[in-house]
Amino acid sequence: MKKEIVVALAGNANVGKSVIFNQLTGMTQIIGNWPGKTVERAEGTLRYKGRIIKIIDLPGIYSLSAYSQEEIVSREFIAFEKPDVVINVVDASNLERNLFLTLQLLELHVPMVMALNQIDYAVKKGIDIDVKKLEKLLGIPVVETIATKGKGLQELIDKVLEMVDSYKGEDVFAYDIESEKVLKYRPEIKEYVMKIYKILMRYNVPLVKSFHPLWISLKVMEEDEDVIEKLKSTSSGEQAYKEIEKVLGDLKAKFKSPIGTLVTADRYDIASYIASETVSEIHHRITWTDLIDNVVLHKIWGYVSMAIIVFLSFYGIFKFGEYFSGILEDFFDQFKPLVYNLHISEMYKDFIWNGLAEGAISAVTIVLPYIFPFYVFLSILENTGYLARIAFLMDEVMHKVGLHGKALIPVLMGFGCNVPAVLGTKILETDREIFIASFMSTLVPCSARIVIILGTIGVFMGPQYALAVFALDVLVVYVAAYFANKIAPGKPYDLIMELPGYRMPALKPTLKQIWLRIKDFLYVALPIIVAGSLVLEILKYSGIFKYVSYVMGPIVVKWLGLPSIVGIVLIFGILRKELTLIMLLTLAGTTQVSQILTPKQMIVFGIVTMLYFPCIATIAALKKTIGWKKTWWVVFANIIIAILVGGIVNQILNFI
Amino acid sequence: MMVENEVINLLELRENEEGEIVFIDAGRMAAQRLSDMGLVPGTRVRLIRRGPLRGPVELEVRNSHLVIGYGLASKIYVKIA
Ligand SMILES: Nc1nc2c(ncn2[C@@H]2O[C@H](COP(=O)(O)OP(=O)(O)OP(=O)(O)O)[C@@H](O)[C@H]2O)c(=O)[nH]1
Ligand SMILES: [Mg+2]
Repeated sequence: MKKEIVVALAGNANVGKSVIFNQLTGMTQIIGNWPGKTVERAEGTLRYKGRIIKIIDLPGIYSLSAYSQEEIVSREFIAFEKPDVVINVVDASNLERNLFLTLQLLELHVPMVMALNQIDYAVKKGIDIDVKKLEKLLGIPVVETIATKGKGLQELIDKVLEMVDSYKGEDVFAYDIESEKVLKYRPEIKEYVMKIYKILMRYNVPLVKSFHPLWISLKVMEEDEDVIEKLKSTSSGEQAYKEIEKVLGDLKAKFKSPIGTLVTADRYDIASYIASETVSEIHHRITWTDLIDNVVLHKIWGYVSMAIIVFLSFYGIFKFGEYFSGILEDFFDQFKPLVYNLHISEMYKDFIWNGLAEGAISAVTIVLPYIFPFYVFLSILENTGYLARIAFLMDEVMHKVGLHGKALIPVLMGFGCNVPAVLGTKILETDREIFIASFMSTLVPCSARIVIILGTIGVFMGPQYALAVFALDVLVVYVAAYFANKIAPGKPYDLIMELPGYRMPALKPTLKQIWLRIKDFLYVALPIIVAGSLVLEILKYSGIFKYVSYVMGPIVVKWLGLPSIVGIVLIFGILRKELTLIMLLTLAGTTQVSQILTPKQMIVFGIVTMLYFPCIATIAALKKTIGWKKTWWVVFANIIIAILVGGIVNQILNFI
Repeated sequence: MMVENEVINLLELRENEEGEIVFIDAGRMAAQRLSDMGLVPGTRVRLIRRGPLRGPVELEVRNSHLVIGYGLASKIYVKIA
């Protein structure tokens, strides 16, 4: 009995792989209702029946061709790391398209189990699937699952274990394509596949150790450059390839279209055949999705409804935050006299109250009341499927800056936190698109910066001013992207994306997602804020501030029109953006920003904080995604943009 | 009126009209991306809607919905089914 087992989750985008992964491993991969969330593989472990099962969550793919990074990642994982079993997760409500990938996974000849997921959703759509027949046609075990409710997952793992225990390996020398039960390509293809297969075996090419020769033969036939290159990298492979080319010449002469197209067409024919044999649509309903989309994707109403959604959620978040922030502030203010009535020196009182308490209290009273409703809103946006609609609506606008509509999805995620936004740009096809979208993401205010703007400008000047600052940001992001596109020019890929149906966000995973984000604030940000405040208070007594103020004075005071201590808090803000506001308050010994900043200064402060520098965590994400050189470029560009926009706004406000 | 079996560009379909893909006039890369998403000659598609101006189109293909950018969509030729 094998004790340690490796299992990979492979399947189309948005079928529920990560929900299954999270359920099995207790980990927290990003989930949501749009294709392309998981961009890098993730690993977790499950202990079950005395076994240690390593589970790998792979990015969603539609094919095993080499046309996207995710496809290469997935197929190389399967080839080189040889998982004991592949779980092919498929969306039961969309079987035909999913089977296209299933067939390609079968070509790899790896032990496989199918998780027929989202059964509940399929039932809702009036789709019924004959599972027994599907098992028979595919020749692999099929388990019905509802990942969001954890249904069927135990059976799934039981089937995986059964498969591991009964797998005996296969004799590649005795292989004959005629014995394939599922992969029934047209006769000419089968004939030539076998010809190539035999050549590969005759030359004993090393690549056969990684990939099944059937798969290599098909890929060579499809002119897959990556596989051909790998094949030719050894001398025996090179010779084999020369011979294969001759053989393929005969086949090409027989058909008008490229052989790759024929193979693809055959796979789709097989997939439609299996789907037609197993799927029965009991009733074709007009779905909610169709009705809603008639409005939200409409040429005019689509944009009107998008504006309404943004506007309403903005006011909702603001009103909720303002109300609870007020209540919490009154509550904590009662404690201040307790500290100041202690019989210790003034300096220690300052350390205790300003340094330790004030930072934490401001964080809780100012930040928490706004981020909570904001995260709820973000979760709704992610899990209902509306984000993918924004990609549709904004596709053309994005083309003007050299991106397609889907690029906007990770960028919008930046409103929650810039880190997943930058990492998420990996769904884009080329380096230049990833660069532009990452750059855009850094200029999108994350929840921390949104709170700063709502809690200062919104509270003391009125929400309409906060909204104006956000509108200005949209403009800045767009213009910045425009220039980035000029620096890294190129034609964007055209959009091609599956449009998911709307889902009611599943309660438990959604709540968990909201909690995780708040937890990040409580467990990561809060300690940094407290520590930062304390350090700040100590530095205040050390007298170092005058030198810093002296250096930053010309820009901060003269050009931006802000008090000189803002220069100091901006430096701390690089650690965590919340720090800028909270330290400003701590330094002034108040929770009322209006005592430190005039309304005009609030606006400039809000704009500068929004744009000036990616926080440390974002810099790390940028480095990982676009490399150091471009990261420094982005940082530099942020500084310039902040100084430029902040200064100009300051001059204009002085003028009026 | 469209003549039966006349080959037209996908973008010429009216909303809610169905067609059958006849050929795809694109380079290898674009053709592969389309075919990986199930758009191969012989496939029936229904144009659900198009975005404003040169916006993308939404298609129903193999019982699922795809959004395809204007440029890519213009490479697909269909006959009215
Ligand atoms: N109704 C229902 N929804 C499900 C089920 N499984 C997953 N979902 C939803 O489907 C969506 C996609 O789930 P994910 O796990 O993020 O999908 P994925 O396959 O990891 O997607 P990518 O990482 O983008 O490739 C989410 O909105 C889930 O809540 C299910 O069994 N029933
Ligand atoms: Mg995923």
